[in-house]
Amino acid sequence: MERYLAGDARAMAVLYDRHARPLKAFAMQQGAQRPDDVVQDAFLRVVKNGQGFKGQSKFRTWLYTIARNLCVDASRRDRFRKGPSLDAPMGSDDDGPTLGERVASDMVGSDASRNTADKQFREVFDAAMEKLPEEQREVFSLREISGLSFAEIADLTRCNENTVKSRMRYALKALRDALADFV
Amino acid sequence: MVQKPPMTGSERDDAAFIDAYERRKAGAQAGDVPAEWRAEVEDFVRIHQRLAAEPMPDVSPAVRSIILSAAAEATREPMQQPLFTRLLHLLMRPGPILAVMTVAALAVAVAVRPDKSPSSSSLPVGAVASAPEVAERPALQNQPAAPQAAVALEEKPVDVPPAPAAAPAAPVAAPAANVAEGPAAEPAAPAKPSRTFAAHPASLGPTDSPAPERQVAQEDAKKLPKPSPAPQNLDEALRDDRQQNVAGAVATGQATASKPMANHADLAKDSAEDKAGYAAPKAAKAQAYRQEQDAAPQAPAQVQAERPAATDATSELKARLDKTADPDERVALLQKLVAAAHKSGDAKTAKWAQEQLHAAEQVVSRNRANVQQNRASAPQPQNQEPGKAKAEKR
Repeated sequence: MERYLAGDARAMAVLYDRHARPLKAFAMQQGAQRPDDVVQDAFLRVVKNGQGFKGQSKFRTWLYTIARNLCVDASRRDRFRKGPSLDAPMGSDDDGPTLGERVASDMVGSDASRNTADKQFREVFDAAMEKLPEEQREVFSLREISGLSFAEIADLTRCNENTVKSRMRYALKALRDALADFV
Repeated sequence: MVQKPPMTGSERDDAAFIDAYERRKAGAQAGDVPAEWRAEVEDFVRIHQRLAAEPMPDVSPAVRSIILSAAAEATREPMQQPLFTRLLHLLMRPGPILAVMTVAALAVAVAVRPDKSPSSSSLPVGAVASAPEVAERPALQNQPAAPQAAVALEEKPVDVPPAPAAAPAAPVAAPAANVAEGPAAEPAAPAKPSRTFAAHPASLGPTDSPAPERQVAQEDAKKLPKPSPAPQNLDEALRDDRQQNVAGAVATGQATASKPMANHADLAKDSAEDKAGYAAPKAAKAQAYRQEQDAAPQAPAQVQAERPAATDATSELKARLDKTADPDERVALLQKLVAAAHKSGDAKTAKWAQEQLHAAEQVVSRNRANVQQNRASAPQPQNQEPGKAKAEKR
């Protein structure tokens, strides 16, 4: 980030390559319907307001704070927006894949050769994450998927670190109960 | 419906559990985890390993190109902006703006602050007329009859230009003579010519002044009223003079003159005894004394010249006031006395005269009112008893 602020545009490419995919995974876990847009908007804000980054916190914390706010705004917008149902079949074929299935498949990549166990694991995992309280889901996805430290998560969510760890334990316990067949 | 899980322990306990889980996840041995948590931690570690194996979702390449082009444009912009624009952007921030406003406010406050320096509000009397005093010095020095000029024993004759204030210099000689008369109202301090100390004052010992001038000074000194006993040594004389000047005696210019002149007899004797060794330190003391006199807030020559005249008028008016009991005459005299006191700068006398005038005017008005009342009551004597009429008259 310092190199970018110094005028090196290639430093932004390094930042993007390092954080874009985990950021999208986080946006997907937060329920964003268009996670690519969240990633694009978050990085555009970094490009535009780069001078506002004082270096008091890590760049990753700053980036995920932006993404978190974007996800909250998007969820509020989409709550009142009449969008297509995730369960409705796409196309004219009623037996065809639903939108939710297509979204889920995007989460696990476009590799069609993934075995069934993994797919099932993913589906159960997603369903269990869906059932978690929002704050537990956020903590779990930030720690386990995006790789943020508990200190960064505490800074981002404006909570005590012990509170973050407590939420993490609850989330792990709930997921262990849901994924008991896979562990 | 999402149900909140029940609390399984305190937050501290949860934090300890997570720390153990993190250590195990990072590669710690299973035996390092407490026994009661071991099974749970192992399950969590397996979930973590399963999730870590999952590939991250891909982001559309279009997003990358958009981000990188925006970054390139953003990094180019500052270099294309002119220096003035960049400086303006730097200054248009809360911090610099606040700093500039604070400095501006301080500058305005200092600028509009009223000037409280004492020199501008009130000036000492001596400083006000310092110019006429200096202008009159040459004039006075040209008047050998004046004791002040006579005391001005200069080593070298000074060629002075004709004083523009030569007219006011004339009354200076008269006050000098009046000093010899010694008005009773004035304090007993001897007269002191301030302008004479522009040169080496004679009181500071023998100088190289010519003898005739000293003789004249001695003769004039004899004419002056006898001052306080001359101090035994010269330093005491100077000290006494300074104290009297600081006390602000009336006609200090003349009062001091007599003292050094009175010491001329002693000085003449001293000069005969040790002339050479006396001149140098005394010259230095004369210099210091001259500087001190110039710095002291004493009345200038012009004011001092006018003061004796006004003081005489004041004393005369006072004398006449004491002699008369007529209220109307007292009012007239008091009015003149107020004017004379103001002219002479005698604030104390002016204030006293003002008060007396006010009282006298009240007496006069009361008398007039009584007269009018008596005249009003006089036409009806038949309606009243003789006793009542007498009582009213009283």
